[in-house]
Order: sequence, then C-alpha cells, then structure tokens
Amino acid sequence: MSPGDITSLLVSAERGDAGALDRVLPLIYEELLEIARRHLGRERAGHTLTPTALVHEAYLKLVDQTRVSWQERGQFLGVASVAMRRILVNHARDRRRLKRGGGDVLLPLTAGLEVAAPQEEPNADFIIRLDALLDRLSQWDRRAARVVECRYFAGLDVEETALALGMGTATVKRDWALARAWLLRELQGPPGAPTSD
Amino acid sequence: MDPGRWQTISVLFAELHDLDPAGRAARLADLERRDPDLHRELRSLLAAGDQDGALEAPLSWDPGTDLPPDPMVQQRIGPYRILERVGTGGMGVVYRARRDDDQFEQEVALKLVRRGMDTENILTRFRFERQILAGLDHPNIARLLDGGAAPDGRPYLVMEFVAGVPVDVWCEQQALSLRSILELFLTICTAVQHAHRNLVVHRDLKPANILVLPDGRVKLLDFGIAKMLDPTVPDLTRPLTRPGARLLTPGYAAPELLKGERAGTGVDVWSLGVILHELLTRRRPFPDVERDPAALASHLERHLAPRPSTCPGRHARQLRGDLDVITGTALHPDPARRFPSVEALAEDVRRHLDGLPIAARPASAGYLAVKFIRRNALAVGTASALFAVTLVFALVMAGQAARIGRQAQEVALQRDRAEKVTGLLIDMFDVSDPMITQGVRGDTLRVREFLLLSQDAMVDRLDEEPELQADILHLYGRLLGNLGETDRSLELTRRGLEARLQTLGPGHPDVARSLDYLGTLHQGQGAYATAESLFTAALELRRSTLGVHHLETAESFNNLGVLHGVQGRYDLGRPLIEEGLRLRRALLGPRHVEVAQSLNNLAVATWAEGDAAEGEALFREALAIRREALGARHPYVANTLNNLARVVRDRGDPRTAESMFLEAVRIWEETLGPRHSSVSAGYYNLGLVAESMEDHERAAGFLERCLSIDRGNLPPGHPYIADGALALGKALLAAGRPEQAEPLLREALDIRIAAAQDTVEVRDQLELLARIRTVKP
Repeated sequence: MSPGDITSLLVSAERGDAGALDRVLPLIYEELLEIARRHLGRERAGHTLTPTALVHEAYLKLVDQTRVSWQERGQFLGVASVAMRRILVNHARDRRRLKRGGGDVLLPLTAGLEVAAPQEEPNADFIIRLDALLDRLSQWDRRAARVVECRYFAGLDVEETALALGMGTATVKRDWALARAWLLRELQGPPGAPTSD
Repeated sequence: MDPGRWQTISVLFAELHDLDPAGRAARLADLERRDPDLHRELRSLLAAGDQDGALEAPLSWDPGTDLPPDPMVQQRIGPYRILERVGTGGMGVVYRARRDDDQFEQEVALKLVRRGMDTENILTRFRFERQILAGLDHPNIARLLDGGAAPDGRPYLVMEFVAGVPVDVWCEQQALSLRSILELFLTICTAVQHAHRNLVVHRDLKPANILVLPDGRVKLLDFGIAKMLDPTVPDLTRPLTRPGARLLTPGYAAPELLKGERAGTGVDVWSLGVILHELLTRRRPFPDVERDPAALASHLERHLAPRPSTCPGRHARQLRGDLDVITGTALHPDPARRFPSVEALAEDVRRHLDGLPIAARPASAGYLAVKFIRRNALAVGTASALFAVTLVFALVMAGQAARIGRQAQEVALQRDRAEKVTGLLIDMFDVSDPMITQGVRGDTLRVREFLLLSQDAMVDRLDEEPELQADILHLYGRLLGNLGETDRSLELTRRGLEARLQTLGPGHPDVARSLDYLGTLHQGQGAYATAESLFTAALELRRSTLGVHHLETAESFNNLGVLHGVQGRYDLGRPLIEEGLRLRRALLGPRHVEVAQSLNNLAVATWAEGDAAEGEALFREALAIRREALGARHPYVANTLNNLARVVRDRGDPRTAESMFLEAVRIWEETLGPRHSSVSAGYYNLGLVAESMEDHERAAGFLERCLSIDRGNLPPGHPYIADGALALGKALLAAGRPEQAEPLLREALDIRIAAAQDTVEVRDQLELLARIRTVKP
C-alpha cells in the first residue's frame, strides 16, 4: 500500500464517496497487523504494544502527509479505531480458543483491567465481554460506543477522538465519562445477572 | 435501553458528575423523591464511574507470539510454494519460497507487493524492466528471476534468495577493522557501478538491501525495484493522472529524491555516502531530521553532512581528513557537486587505502555561490516536477533495444545518430522561432500547440541521454519563451540547467547559456534581482571559460547592461552595452544583426540619459541593419521601430510616432501572436500617444487591449499591470468616465504601494518605468 492510495481513498471519502471508507478499513486493518507482526519480530522481552503507537505508526506510513487535511486525518483515525478494535477482539478470541485447546500462556494484567476482569484469562475474556457490551451500548448510543472505541481500543486522546468522530472535545469527555461508567457497572455485575437493559 | 431514557440519564449524569459530593448528594436525594428508578440508575453509574484507574488508560496489548499467522505461508504463488516470511518493507512482504514444479530445486526470495498498489502498472513496468534487470549479471548482485501476479492479483517478484545479514550488522558482528570495512564498501561500489553501466539505478540502497553471506560474500538486492514500484515514475502506457508519494527509505534517500525531482545515478552515490558514514561511525548522518523529508530537505539547505570524525566512535581519529572529505563529497546536497559517479567515489576510497592523495576537495566558497544562484534561479516552479507523459510505445521499445545492445560501438553509433537528430530538430525549430527567422507567420499558434504537446515526450525519450536531454530542455524552453509561454519556459529552462549542472558540472559554458536565458525570463517577470544574479553568474562563467573575445561573453555584457537600464541604472548599464557592441563589431563586422541589437540597446540608454538626438541616430542605424538583415516584418525590426517611435513622439511628432507604433504592433501580432507581451507594450505606447493628442477614447481602447494581454500573461502584482491600469484609469478619467477609472487607479496604487513603501520613490519609479516601456532588446 502506498501512501498515495490510502490518501486518495480518504480524500474520496471526504468528498462523499461512501465506498471509499469501506475500502480503507481492510487496508488499515492489514497494515496495523503488519506493524504489530514486525514489532513482535523484534522479540523484545516484555514488550507490549500500545494501540496508540500502532495507530500513529500506521498513519505515518500509510498517509501522504503532504496531501491530507485535518478532516482526512480524522477519518483515518476513525477507521483505524474500528480496525484496532477488530484486531484486539479477534486476537482475544484466538487467544481464548488457544487456551481452551490446552495452551498455557497467561497474559499479564494491565492497569485498566484488574478491577473488573474475571480470574481466568482476564485479558481475552475481558476484551470479548467489553466488545459485546459495546455492541449493546451502540444500539442506543452509537456515538458513545465510538468514543470508547477511539479512546480505549485505539488509544486516541480526547482531541484525536474529537477529530475522528467530528465532534467537540467537551462532548467527547461527556460521552466518555458516561460510557465508561456504564461499562464498568455492567462489567462488575456477575455475568448473567440482570442488567439495566 | 430506551434512547429517550438514555438521553435523560446522559444529561443528568453529566450534571451530577461535575458536582462536588455535597451538591451531588442533594441532587440525588431530590431525584430519589421524584423518580426512584432513575435515581438508582444514576447512583450506580456514578459509583462505577468514580473508580479510579479502571478503563482509563488505553488497552495495552501483549499479543505474545501468537498473532494470526501470515496466511500466505504454505500457499502457492505461480510455481512457487511459500515457506517462510523473512521480512517486510515499504513495498511488501518478502518470503522464502521454493519452486514447486520440480523444475528446479531452488530456493528463492519472493517479494509480494502490498495490496493496493497499482498492479497493472507494476506488471507493465516489470515486463519492460525484466530484460534489463535479468541482464544484471554480477556476482555481487542478487538476480531477478521471475515475476507475475499472485492469485489475488497482487504482483510479485522473484529473486535469488540470499541467506545473509545486513552489511551494518555484519560489520558489527565481525568487528571489522576500518580497512576491512572500506574494502567491503569497495565491493559494494563495484556492484553499483556495474548496474549503472547497465543504466540501472538502484534508488533504494541501504544496509537492509546489502547482505553479507556467512562466507563474507556481498549481495545487493532489489536493483531497479524501487523504480518499478514508484508510483511517481510515469506509467509507460498511459498518462499519469495522479501524483503519489514515493516509496522512500528515510535516512538513505538523496535530497533530490525527497524533493520529487528527477533522480539520476547521483541518488545512489548519496545513499552510498550514507552507508559509508554509517559503517564508519555506526550512525547515520542526519538522525534527527531523517524521518521527515521536508525537514531533511530544509536541513540540507543550510547544513552539510557532519564529518564522520566528529561523530563519537572507535575510528574517529582515523576518519579525520580523507574520509571526512569523501563522505562529505558523496553527501553533497547538490548532485552536481557530489562525486560524478560511483567510480569516482570508489576511486577515492581506494586511493585513501593506498595512501594516495584523493581527488575530492572539501566544499568551497565557490560551491556556496553556485548554490545561491541556483536557489534563486530555481525558486520558480520547483514544486514536484511531475509531468503527464505521452510516451509512444515504439519509441520506448527502440530505446530498450538500444540499451540492451550495449556494445560500445553500438552505443557510439546511437549517440552519433542522436546528435544528428538533435541538430535537425534545432534547425527545424529555428525555422518556426519567430525571433530567429524573418517572415510573416500565421501558424505561430499551431507551433505553440505542437511544442506544448510534444515537450514531455521529447524530453522523456532522452532519459538515458542526459546531455542531449538538457539541450532539448533548453531548446524547448527558449522556443516556448519566445512564444510568450513564460511559465513553461521557466520550468523547462530550469530543468535544463539542473540537467546541465548534473551532467556537465558547474564550470561548463552551456551552464552559462541556461543561466543567461533564465535571467532573461526572470527579467521579463520583473524579478530583477534574480535576473541580475543569473546574468552576473553567466558573465563570470563565460569570461572564465570562453574568454572575453567571444560572442557569448558579448551577449552577457549586453544582457546585464540592459538589465541595469531596465532598472534605471543607465550609468551602470551603458558601459556594459558598449562593451558588448565593441566585441560584436570586432567579431561580426559592422552590419550584423547582433550589432544592431547592441545599437538598439545603446540608443535606449543614450536617449534615457538625455541625448535624444544621438539616441534617435542610433535607433535609425539599428533599424536599417535589422531591416536589411531580417526583412521588413521581423519582430526585431518592430522592436527598434517601437523605440524610434517613442523618440519621435517625444520630439513633438505624435502622428508620425503613432503610425510607427502601429506598424510595430502589426508586425508583432503577425509574428508573435496577438497575446505576446511585446504586443501589449505596443498598445501601451499607442495609448500614451493617443492620450498626448487628447484622443482619450482612442487611448482607452489601446490601453484596454494592453491591460487585457498583461493580465493574461503576468502575475497580478506585476508593475506592468500597474502601468496599464494607471494609464487606462487616467484616460478614462479624462474621457469623463470616472466610475470606470476609479477601480483601475486603486489597483495601480495598491500595486505600487505593495512594491515600494516610499511614495516619492514610487513617483520616481513611475517615471522610470514609463521610460522603460520603450526598452526592448
């Protein structure tokens, strides 16, 4: 993928070509995975990838910076956040399958996960549950679910999220606070217990 | 969840979230009374939201080693089975693969191009380039074996598999001595030299593409691949419609590549310089700015590469001197000041190893002067020089055949033929150059169209003949410039200069020709300071290479003199014009057209300095020679006629003056086309004459035509537009049409104010500019 191609797709999307964004998603998905593979290839001990770094690296690599406006940067980040969520969720699913198949890799907990995650296979299960909850949230508040995608899965900061979703930073902060509270509450409830649906 | 209810929750949550605990408790208590369900909902959400840390940091990700495996492994692509993924790069993924049809037991490297690149284009290029690349038979170059399209349509290239380590890693692992590093580097140079002799430029040399096998043999990978995959290299079969970004490796790409300019063998010299620097010091020369092409390009405008000996490292002391100079010369931002070839670079490294003096010299003040001139001269139109191409298939094929049949004799024959063709072309075009030939031509427009359409194809066809290409660029530049296509002309002339600097070096008289014509173009655009530095450089270069007694040196004296005159500095200009006249008379005899040009220019200066009678006599002499040598209806005849008319008007004979001006305008219109800048100058003068006879409507008519032509040809703030607008405004005012006059007068004033702060100076300039309008070489 050359920077020119992605950029052209983003520019077409900006001009209203709805199909262009759909074509961008698999490209960005693949690129993010590609970058992750390369990082892993370096086999640094204890190396964790942050989605933030992945997304930014993909942006630098895929987008011809001389041709994009802020809107297109926003669109890239928006699509990348969707791709990042898919990668992380797919990976978590693979991981869980592996574990059930007898694998014995235990993933370290990350700061954000300790509170709510169940005891076993915290990371993978947690991500999968979070994913399902986000799907639910997006049924009535798609915007808030997208904010979570950007902030949590893609590691975008408030300004980048605002850019990606075309909204103000104050709204991002509000949506984030509420969605986060809701997710945490739903995560805490024992699986299967009644929730406020 | 009901969206309406969620909306309510959302509003209340936002409100409560920001309250202090006391306020929040009060608000919650209030809510509990009114809507217990809503209260419960909010309380639980607020409690969940108050947990510090949870979900706050973005997800971090430790994928372990079990990322989804590359789906290509074990797949078949063409006759190859993919065995293992061995690397990735900007262009795609590289696999180790094996031929799977029992034909050969051979392991290969299969490079699968990234999804989304222009498959068809790459495959077309591949078909064109494969013969050449396959012909690169050198023990240190990994061979290109095959290529095609994978089942999913992506192009792939198959190369000899090299199980080696990158050269930088090798040097590190083996802890090579300085001498061994340099010897290894020489081997690399030999391979690159071989490719260059076969007209293949690598364009992406870097340690990752230079592998060393366990037995110490070196293999260079990916020759010619970068060009094949570069979306900015024009497609061979269709016009390029969309610019794309180059695939560059930051840190190793030459500045001209970063700037999107044409890339010759010099880009490999640069990359080799970076590699040498890196192997010697273990760091690249521009680590801080290398990732950002724009930052690197601007850094290089101001800084030269650091000397290896100043970098911390083992060999620092041994690097001082020769090796500093060698890397500095390879890493010169100006390709013309770099080693002219990889051979030259290698030769200096070899001489250093043998303890002999090297040929490269540290960058000098002379370089800085040339660079200054270039920067100023090239300011116009340096934006990425991408051109739509109309390439004729057959011509490409012919070019290929010539490159493949590369016995020295044949190459010499080709060159001979090419030179003859160029000669013919120059003759042919000279016939249609209105400034050179006499005669009435109605087909100027068609010539213009033909030139505009053919320029790219002509230039591109000569890609492999840089000297010829430079000549053609210069020729097209001049022809289009004479036809008033200033922008195109500037661009082509500039590229011609670039090409000459690159192929001939800065000390060649042809470079002076380019500088001189660029000066003429800038003068025409009102960029007098730039024009002056260009003319001065051309004069100096000609004096030092051709001597004073040379027609081109005479031309430079003339042009620089005229430029001073145009700026009102007749005291400076006159002696230069006189020197040009003296030289031309001595070299050409008294009645040559070039002598007439000098006479015309001297007449302008003489008249401007106040000697009207002597000025008129000189104009008449020039006119007579021009009519005699060029015929009655040549644009040069019109130039002198126009000037003579100005003198005649000033001595109080406006009717005679008007008929002379009119004749001049007619000649220009016939020979140069109706929108040429000379035509506008003629109408300007006609307007002033009519005005002086109090015929305001007639004056306004002339001046409108003048202004309309100038607006079409010149940038909005050009002084000529101010002249035209001012004169037309005055005429309209006098004709009793103030409402039409006002916007023009304002426009003129705005331009003048922008051009000079001091109104007294503006008034002086107004006077000068009015006089300058008569000056046409």
